[in-house]
Amino acid sequence: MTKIEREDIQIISRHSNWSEESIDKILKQEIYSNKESWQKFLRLFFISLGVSFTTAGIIFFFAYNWADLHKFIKIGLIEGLIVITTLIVLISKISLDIKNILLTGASILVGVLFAVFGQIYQTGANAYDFFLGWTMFIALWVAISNFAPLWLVFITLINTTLILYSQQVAHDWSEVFEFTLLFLINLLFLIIALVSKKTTKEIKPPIWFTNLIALASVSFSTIGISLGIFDQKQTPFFVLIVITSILYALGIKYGLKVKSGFYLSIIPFSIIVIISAFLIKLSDDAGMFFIISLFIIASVTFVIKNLINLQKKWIN
Amino acid sequence: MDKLTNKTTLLDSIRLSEGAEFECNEKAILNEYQNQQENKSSLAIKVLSIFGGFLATLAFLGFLAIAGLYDSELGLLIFGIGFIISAIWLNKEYDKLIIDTFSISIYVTGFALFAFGLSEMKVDENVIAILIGIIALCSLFITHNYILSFISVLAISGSFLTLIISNDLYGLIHLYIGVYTLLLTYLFLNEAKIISLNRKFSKLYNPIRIGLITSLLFGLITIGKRHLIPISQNYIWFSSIVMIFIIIYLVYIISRINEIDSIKSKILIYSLSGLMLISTIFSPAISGAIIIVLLSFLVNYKTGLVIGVISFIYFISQYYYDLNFTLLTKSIILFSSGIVFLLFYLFTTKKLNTNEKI
Repeated sequence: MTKIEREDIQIISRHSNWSEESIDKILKQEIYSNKESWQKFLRLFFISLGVSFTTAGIIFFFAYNWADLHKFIKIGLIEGLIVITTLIVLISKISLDIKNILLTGASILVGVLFAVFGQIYQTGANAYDFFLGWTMFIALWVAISNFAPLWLVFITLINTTLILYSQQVAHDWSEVFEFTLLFLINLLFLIIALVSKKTTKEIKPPIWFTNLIALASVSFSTIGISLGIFDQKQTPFFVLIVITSILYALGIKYGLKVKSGFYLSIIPFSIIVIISAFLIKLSDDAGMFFIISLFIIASVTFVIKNLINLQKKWIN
Repeated sequence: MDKLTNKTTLLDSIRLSEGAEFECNEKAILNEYQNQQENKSSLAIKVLSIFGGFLATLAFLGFLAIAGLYDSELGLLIFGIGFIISAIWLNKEYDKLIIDTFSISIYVTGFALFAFGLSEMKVDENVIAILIGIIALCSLFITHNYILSFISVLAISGSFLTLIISNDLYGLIHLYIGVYTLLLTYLFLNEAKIISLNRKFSKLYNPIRIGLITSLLFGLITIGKRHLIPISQNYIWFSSIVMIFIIIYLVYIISRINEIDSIKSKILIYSLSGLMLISTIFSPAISGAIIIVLLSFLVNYKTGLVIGVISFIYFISQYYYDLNFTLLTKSIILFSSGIVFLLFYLFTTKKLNTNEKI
C-alpha cells in the first residue's frame, strides 16, 4: 500500500461516510509526529536553544564592556571558551548534528573575540575588517563542518563584509557594481553547492539552503538591474544585464532539468519586476500604471499556467 | 493514471478496515483527484500568485491615485463592490488555479476601493471595519478557493484589529489573542472531527488553518513589540493565562505520545515546563510562538512549523532588545536560560537512552 497523505484523507472523507474515529486514528498513525520524531525534534530544539542562549549571554556580557575587567582576562575568557567548545567537538562522542551546532556556536564566539579586540583597541564595531577577519578565521571550520546553518552564517558574513567594504573603503564603486558583485558571489556558492550535490555523496546541501541562496542572488540581480534602469550611463549596468540574462537562462534550464518549481517561479518573477521597473521608467503617468497592473496579472498568470502544465508533465 | 490506481488500492484498504458501514462515492473521489492533478498547487505557485496579485493591486491603486479617479465616492463604492463580487463569482464559477492571480488582485482592490469610498463619504470607521468583516465572512461561506479564503480570514481579523485600535480599546487585544489561540488549538486538535463534519469544512480547513496562524501572529506582534500600540505593560500577562493552560495541556498530550509513565519524569517535566512558562509570563508573544511550534509539530504541519520557529526567534530577540536591564543582567539571564535548555537537552537524551535499553 502506498503511504496515505493528509490530502488523501481529506479527499476521501469528503465523499464518504468515513467515521470521525477512524479518521482520527489514521491521522494519528500515519500523519502526526510519532514518538521518535518528537524525541529527535525536542533534542534538536533544546540544544539549539541552549547553545544560542548561552552564546547570546556571552555576547551581552562582553557588550556590557565591564571596565574593571582587565583586557587580558576578557580576551582570555573568550579564547578559553572557544578552545573548550572546539575540544568538545573534537574529542567527545556526541552525535554529528550536535557537534555541528556547537561548532556554529564556536564560530559566533570568534566574532565576539574580534568584537572585544575591537572594543579594547578602538577599531570600531562595524569596520569591514572586523567582519573580514571573522569570515577568514571560521572558513576552515565551515569547510569541514558540511553543516548548512554554519554555511549560511559564513555567506551572510561575506555579504556583510562586502557591503561594509563598499561603504567604507570603495567609495568609487557604483551601486550597480556592488549588486553585480553580490549577485555573482552568492551565485558562486549556489553553483558550488549544486555541483557538489551532484558529484559527491558526502555533501548534501538541504533544499532550503540552496533555495535561500538562489533567492538572495536573484534579489540582488533584480535590485541591481532595477537601480540601473533608473540610473543610466553605466557600463556595469550592461555587464550586469548580460550576465543576468545568461545566468537566468541557465537557471531556467536547470529548473526544468531537476523539475524544481522554485527556480521556475523566482526567475520569471524577477523578470516581471524588472520589466515593470522599465515600464515605470518609460512613463509614470496614470495610464502606465494601469498597463503595469494588467501586465503583472497577465504575465504571472502565464507563468503559473506553464508551471501547472509542467507539473502535469512531470507527474506522468 | 498510475497514481489513480494507487488511490483505488488505498480506498480498498480503507474499505477493508472500515467494514460494511463504509460507503463512498468512488467516482467522485477519483474525479476530485483528477481535477486536483490538473490544478495541483505547489507552495511556489501559491506564493507567486499572492505576490503577483498584490503587486498588480498596488499598480492599479497607483493608477487610480494618479488618474484622480477617487474623486467620485459613489464610483469608488460601486467599483469596490463590483470587484469583490466578480472575484467571488469568478472563483465560484471556474475553480481553476489559473485565475488566482487575477481574482486576488480584484478581491483586494475591491476591499481597498470599498473602504476608501466609504471613508470619503465620511462613514464611521467602525462601520467600515464591521462591513468588511461581514463581507469577508460571507465570501468564506460562498467560495472554497484556498487563497481567497485565506485572504478572507485575514480580512476578518484585520477588521477586529481595526475596531480595537481605532476605538482605543487596547486592552481587548488580550481577548483577541486569547480567542484566536483557543480557536487555533481547537482547529489543530480536532482535525478529524472538522474534516468529517461536511464537505465545506473539509475544503476550508487548510486555508483557515494558515489564516488563523497569520491572524494570531498579527495579534502577537502588537504585544510582542513594545510601544507598537499603547498597551499597559502591567497587564501584559493577561494573554499569558490562556497560553499557560494551553501549553500545559499540550505538554500533557506530548508526554502521552512519548509514553512517559514514571511519576518522577512527569514531575520533572511539568516543573521544568512550569519554570519556562513563569519566565515567559510577561512575554505572551513568546509563548504564543511556542504554541504554534508545538501544535504544528504535533500534527506534522511543516509550513506552520517554519512560521512558528521564525516568529519564536523574532519574539525572543525583540523581548530581550526591549528589556530595561543593563547588558550585564541580560547576559546573566540569557546565560542561565541557555544552561537550563542544555539541561533539558541532557534530560531528553538520557530519557531516550533508557527507553532504548528497555
